[in-house]
Order: sequence, then C-alpha cells, then structure tokens
Amino acid sequence: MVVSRVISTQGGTLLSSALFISSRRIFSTSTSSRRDLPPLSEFVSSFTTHHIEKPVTTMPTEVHTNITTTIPIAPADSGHRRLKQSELPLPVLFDSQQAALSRKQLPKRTGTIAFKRGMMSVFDENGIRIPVTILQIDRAQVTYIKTIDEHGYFAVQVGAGARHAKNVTKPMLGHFSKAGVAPKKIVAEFRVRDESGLLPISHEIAVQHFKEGQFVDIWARSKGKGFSGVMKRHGFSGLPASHGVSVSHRSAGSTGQSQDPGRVLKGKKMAGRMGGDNVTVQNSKVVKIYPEFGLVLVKGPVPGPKYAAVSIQDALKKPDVE
Amino acid sequence: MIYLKSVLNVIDNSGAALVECVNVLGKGNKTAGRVGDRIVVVVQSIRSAKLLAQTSVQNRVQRGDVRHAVIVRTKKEFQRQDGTVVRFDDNACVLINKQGEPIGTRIMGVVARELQQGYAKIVALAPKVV
Amino acid sequence: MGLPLLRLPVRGFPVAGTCVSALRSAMRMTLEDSRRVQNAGYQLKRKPTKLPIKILQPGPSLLPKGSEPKQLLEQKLTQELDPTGWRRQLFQRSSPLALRPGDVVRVVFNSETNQTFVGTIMAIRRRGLDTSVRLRSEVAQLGVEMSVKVYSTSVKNFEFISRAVKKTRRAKLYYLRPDEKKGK
Repeated sequence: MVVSRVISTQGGTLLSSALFISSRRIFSTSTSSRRDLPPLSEFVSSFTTHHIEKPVTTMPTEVHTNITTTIPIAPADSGHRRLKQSELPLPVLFDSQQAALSRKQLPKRTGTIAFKRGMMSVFDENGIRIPVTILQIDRAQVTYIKTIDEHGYFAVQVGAGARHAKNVTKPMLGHFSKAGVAPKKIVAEFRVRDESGLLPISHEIAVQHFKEGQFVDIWARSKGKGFSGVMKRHGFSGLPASHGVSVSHRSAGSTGQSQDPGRVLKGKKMAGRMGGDNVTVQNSKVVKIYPEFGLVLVKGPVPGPKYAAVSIQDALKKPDVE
Repeated sequence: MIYLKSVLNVIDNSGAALVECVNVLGKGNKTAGRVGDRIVVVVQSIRSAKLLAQTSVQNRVQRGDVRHAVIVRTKKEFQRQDGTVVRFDDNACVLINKQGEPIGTRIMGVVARELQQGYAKIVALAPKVV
Repeated sequence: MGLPLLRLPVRGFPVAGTCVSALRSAMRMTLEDSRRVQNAGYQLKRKPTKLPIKILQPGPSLLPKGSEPKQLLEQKLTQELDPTGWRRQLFQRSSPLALRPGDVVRVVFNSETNQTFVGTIMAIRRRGLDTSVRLRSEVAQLGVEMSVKVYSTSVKNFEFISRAVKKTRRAKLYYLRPDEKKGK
C-alpha cells in the first residue's frame, strides 16, 4: 500500500495532493491498457457528493478540500506518529462498485408498475391520429426504500394491484404488514439517482405522477414465441423454394467452416426459444392521463401481452420533468 | 410500391407515355418508392406527336432516354396523418429535370396532395388534387 | 498487489440523511392518507414472541369492476368527438339513417386545402372509435379510393347524396374495382 505510506506525515499535516499524485500513478500503471480512464480525482469528487447529474469536471481545489475534511487526522500532540491503514480513505478503484455507481445514469424520480390493457388510437389537437397503448396504474404503493447506507444504492420498491391474502406467502405478508399496505399482486424495484428520489413508504403512486407530454421508458417481458426457427427468430432468408432444395426451405443453411475450426462458433444464431425477454421501449410519449380511471395512454406499442405488468419510469435520455 | 422494373404512366406533355423505373433515389435498394419520391426512369414508349402539338421540340423526350421523375400516384394505398388512406387505380409519375422542375408544361389527371412538399409546381399545374 | 474492494458505506465519506430508521418513520403515510387505497384489516395469529402481521384489505380499484378500459375510454371519447351524435347516426347499424354500401356521400374536410371527396361507399369498417368508411370515385377517368376515419377531427361532415339504386347483396363492394385480367 504505497498510498498509505505517503500520507503518514508527522504532526497531522496532510499532503493531499501528494496522495493523489501517487495514487494516480498507481492507477495509470496498473490500468495502462484502459485509455479512457478519467482522472481519479473526478471519481472521488463525484462520489463523495452524490451529485452524479453534475458533469464530472469538478475543480481540483474542491477535491482537496473534500478530502482533507474527511480524512481523520491525528492531533499534533496525541503521540500518534502513524495512522492505521483502516482509518485512511482509499482511492476509488475504477472497477469498484462505488465507481460504477457514480458512472451509472439513473432517473431522478421513481417509476411505477402498470398493467397493459390493450391499444387504441386517439386524435390530437391537430387532427393527427396517434396509436396509443392503455396502461393502468392500479393501487401502486411504495412498499420499501433502499438507501446507499444499507443496500449500496438508492431504490424505491413499488407494489401494485391487489391479491387476496390467502394467496400470498407469509414472508410477503409480513413485508406488506411492515410497510402498512394491503397485499399486492406484484412488487418491483425502481432505482433512483439519490435520496431526493425516495418516496415515503406506503405512499400511493397515482397516474398524476406522470405528466401529459412527458417521455417515459417502459420495459416488460415480451410475449413468448416458443421454439422458433431461424427465419422467425433471427430474420434469416431461408433456402430457395426450388433448384433442388427439398424439405429444408426454412433452414439456416451452413453453420460454419470445415475442419478448421472444426466446430460451430459460440453465439451462432440458431433456432430456439424466442420471446420472453425483457424488452425496453425508450422515449414513449405520455399522450393522455385519466386520473379518474387510473389510466395512462402512451404513444406506440409496449412489450408483453394484455394484462402484463410493465415498468414505467421517466425517460433516461430526455430532459427531466421538473 | 415502385421498385426497379416498375412501369408507370407519365401524365405530363413531355412526350413520354410509359416509363420504367430503374432506381428509387434516397432509399435503400429494398425500400419501395411512394408518392412524392424521386425516381430514375427509362422512357419506354412515347406519345404520338399530334397530342403534343404545343410542346416545344427541345423539351420532348425520346424513347430510351434516362430521366428523373417524381411519383404522383400509386396503386398501393398510403396513409395520411389523420388516418385517411388513399389509393389510386394506377401508378403514375411526372418527368422532372435535375432541379426538380417538371419538364412538361401541362399535367393531365389527378395527383396526390403529398406532392405539395417539394413539388408545389406540379400540384399547381394539376387539374385535380386528391 | 491488489487493493481491497471497498465496503459500502465507505468510512470517511459521510452521506446526508444516513439515519435510515428515522427517515423511514418520518416518511410513513398517515392513516387518513392511505384510506383510499386500503382499509383496516385483521391480524394474523402468531406466537407472542414474534411481531404481529397485520393484513390490510385493499381498497377498490379506480376502474369499475369487470370494465374494459378500452371500452370505457371509447365511450368517453365518442362523446367528446361526436357530441351531437350525427356520426353515430350515420354509421351505427341499428340507426334508421345508417349509410349502406352503394350509397353516394360527400366527405367535407376541415382543412382549407383538402376540401371534399365524393364517392360511392365500398365498405364500412365498424370498429368503435376506429370506424372507417371506404369511398370510391372516378376523378378525371381514374379510379380513386379513400378510406376515412369517421371520428377523425379532420372530418367536418358527411353529406348524403343518394341511396344505392338497389340494395347491394354484399357488404364489401370490391367488385367496383376494374378487372385487372380483363383490362389486359
């Protein structure tokens, strides 16, 4: 631990810049192959303040002030010459969970669970016909919150729908009882950027959580298609209809070379189970909300069958709703 | 749905009667041309000279000429933003020059309203617009 | 050398609002707030040493029981888009004024450029709010077909011109199209 040796200066004065210079050198040597590695100071500053929305261009001076205040410094007359290694702040590794968290892009506000209830079309004020999917937000409530201290990230657990208590397991009944909510049909977790995105436990997330005109990301399990051939599953062209082709008109054709490599390469697209994957639709526009029925109309299609539970949250790649 | 080898009627007085599409411009080779799309055509047959009395000689096209054209009608139905669907009984085009102006001076027959964007002159010349 | 993977939370990097239990209790809903989504329930029998499990009854859903949201919204939107009911009168099968295939009508559009279209009704596609009518006419010796959404806000009016000469024996008059084989 080269870093810790550097900081153990006498009298409690700390050369934080020395810490960073030395620690950066360690990084640049150990991960020299990674060219896109940003300066280490940016990681630390972004993580300590939990302001990920801020671009990581914090001034170096700020980094220093942050670090000096958080490092436990032995008083000059305490008799301690050297701090224990466990008491020292360590630099954040590029590959650590912590650094990964600071890089992660997350929405500010929580999302909620909705139920897909079919499609229809509506006309907007300009007379343009818009295809919409009807989503029902049914008695969605916050059942639990996750914080960085306890769980390592911020998230809101939302339950929606209603299930008869006799059809719910006892552990889940205890969970709902603790939250003070009625047993829910389905529970899902929505990660948020920081603690400002957390909501009170048992808070109801109604349709008004979303605004008309805003953009949302919607994800759900797509419809299962069963065991499908390559033409349906991967869009292969199949084999010709004639010219001596028999029986294998919808075949994949060749799956590779001959003796070299002598095997089918991994990841080769073949027939198999299709559908049933998690599919995300980004930037769907909220066309209309009906608070009296608990319904949201979003533009375009949504993965999954009718009555399926889908997750809906503010779009990541569109400006935040204020 | 106008592709390579599609034959279209020409509804102007440029002299051409039937043209064959050889390319749909601004699209991949698997995408069909629609109303308002620019295409490259080969003139396959020309109108008799009697009908074209008032067309000046230098504007007239010959059989085998390669020209640009814009699709004005399709048999394949197309949808408008308000949900209305329109379909014509034939595929037709108007020959244009490289600048996008019609070669002929008159247009016979109906054209689609979609041409208003980019080909306003054709819409203005057409006797009927749907 | 391998630096040890850091535990979370990291010592020396304090986070605002760290007292989770205090946060939780402050955030809990009051009983009045939650009454809409749930009512008082009952308690499960458990050993006295264990925490009691209180089961709450879910409140009613905002959607009326057994109702299809699509039908609900279509009813609502039909009222908005057709307040006087003339569109329904023309296109509901039960109505005495209902249009039939073979009738000739004029569609008047709202926009200034796209004024009218006169044609024979080839087909009526009844699909609630998506109901459409397919008209066919000959414009400058050329057949033109137009399918119009009945409840579209761009449609101002349907003007009835004439009934079919004879009641048609088919619902869809695709035979009005020219015979391609014969033409060639």
